[in-house]
Amino acid sequence: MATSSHVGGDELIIEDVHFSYGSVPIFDGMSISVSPGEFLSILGPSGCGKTTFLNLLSGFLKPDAGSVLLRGEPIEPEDPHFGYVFQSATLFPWLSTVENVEFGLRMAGKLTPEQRREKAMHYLDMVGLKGFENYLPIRLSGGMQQRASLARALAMEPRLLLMDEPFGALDAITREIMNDELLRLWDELGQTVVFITHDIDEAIYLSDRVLVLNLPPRGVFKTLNNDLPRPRSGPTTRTADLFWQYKKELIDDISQVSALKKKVQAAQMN
Amino acid sequence: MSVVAKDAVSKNKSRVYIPGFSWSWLSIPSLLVAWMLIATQFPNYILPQVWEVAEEAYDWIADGSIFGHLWASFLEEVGGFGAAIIVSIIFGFMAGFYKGFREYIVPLNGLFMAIPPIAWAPLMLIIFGIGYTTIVVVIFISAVNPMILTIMEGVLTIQGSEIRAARALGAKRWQLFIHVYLPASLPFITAALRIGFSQAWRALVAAEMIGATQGLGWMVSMGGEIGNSRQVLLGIVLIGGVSYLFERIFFRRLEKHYEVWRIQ
Repeated sequence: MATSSHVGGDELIIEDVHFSYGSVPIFDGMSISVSPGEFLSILGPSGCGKTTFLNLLSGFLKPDAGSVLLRGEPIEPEDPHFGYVFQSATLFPWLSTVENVEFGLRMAGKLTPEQRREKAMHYLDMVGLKGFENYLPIRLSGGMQQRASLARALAMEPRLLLMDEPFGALDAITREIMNDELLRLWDELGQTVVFITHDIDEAIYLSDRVLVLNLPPRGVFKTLNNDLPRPRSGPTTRTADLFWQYKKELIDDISQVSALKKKVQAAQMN
Repeated sequence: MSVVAKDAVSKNKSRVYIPGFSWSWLSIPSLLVAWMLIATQFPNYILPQVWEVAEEAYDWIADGSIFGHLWASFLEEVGGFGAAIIVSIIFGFMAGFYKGFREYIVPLNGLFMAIPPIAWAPLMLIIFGIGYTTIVVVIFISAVNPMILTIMEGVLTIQGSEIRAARALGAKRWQLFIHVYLPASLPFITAALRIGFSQAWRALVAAEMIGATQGLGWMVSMGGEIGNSRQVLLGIVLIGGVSYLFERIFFRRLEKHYEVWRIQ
């Protein structure tokens, strides 16, 4: 089962993207490329355009200039090659858990109902929700809802997974469990992942590369290439010297960005 | 037994809860008793007793005339309320989707809702004459406006996040409507139906009192004109009873259907 599950990842190229809300520039020529199968985390204090960045990546917002290319094609929100996991689970409350997971497959209309159900059950099983398929979302806990939401995105077998602070609303323990689950799934499926977070530990623990965003429209403040060995596991990875070294660096970076933010805000006040 | 335990026991006792028990069984009997007591203070040609109205009901049933009036009122409700359902779903969704249309129609809804529906009856009588069309138009006017507003509010509360999630899962425009907007707004459509039904029924009775030759409203007003208070009270009981039963049977079905949809 494990080998047949491999989906693989696509290359994502962000090329000289300009974007502004009215006269307020958010990105002024930002370029990032994400290699196939890479796990990239985007870190930054609130108000530095993380969510705007993700909306541009997913095609919900169009850049004023420049391009966002997935496999060389401009990205569209409806593109089946990418999956989106949101900050809140956004499950459809009138559908059962398994029907939620089937939703995208149903929209695509390529599979028979039996095939859809089978695939949905496979991914529900993968995220550890077997036995809960007939529950309405309201009966699931926060962590379970986010698992279901992940299964819903995975069922489309996307080659790029965009995740917008997916575990931000969970308690610390559940979050660590979900981090491990996500790494296990990623290891098995091999998608390209762009993961937005404001949690430094999470960013280090998960990714191959961490980008720290600067205040708009300054783009990327810093890139950290994460050499922590894989496979990672809580007790070893989180206590490794390298982990702490990265953490120090990133705390320092974030505080620099925050200080800049304060300065800019103070300047705007005057 | 410690003091704490004792305390806990007494606290539990003070919160006795019998599942399924409700004081609602007392509502109707107490109303009937009050009626009977008050009626003892009046001559029966002014305020008849409960059983005298029951006798009146028997007479109307025995000669079959009651069914004609019920049927007439029912058909009017179906016509006016039915048209209001179709129009309010179309306009309600349009108002929810398009800001311009919303800005245009909301003041009109407000204006029409400020006018008691019965005020339209004389005009409709002049235009359509006594009978079915007049009543249906008055019902339609009274039901459609609050229904449009309710459905519009419902569509507006549908979360952008759900729409985004559906789009990210590949839903096209019409699929968004069928698979997200429609099921997400079902609770509001049900609410609109409830509101619309009771508005329509009120308007129906009022309009029948002015512009009809049959129906439950006509029964009441005619009873008043000929000084038959039994007939008036029978009409009132039927108006209340039909509305109550209809709501229970019809809306129960609807809610069940909606639940099935949720599970399906």
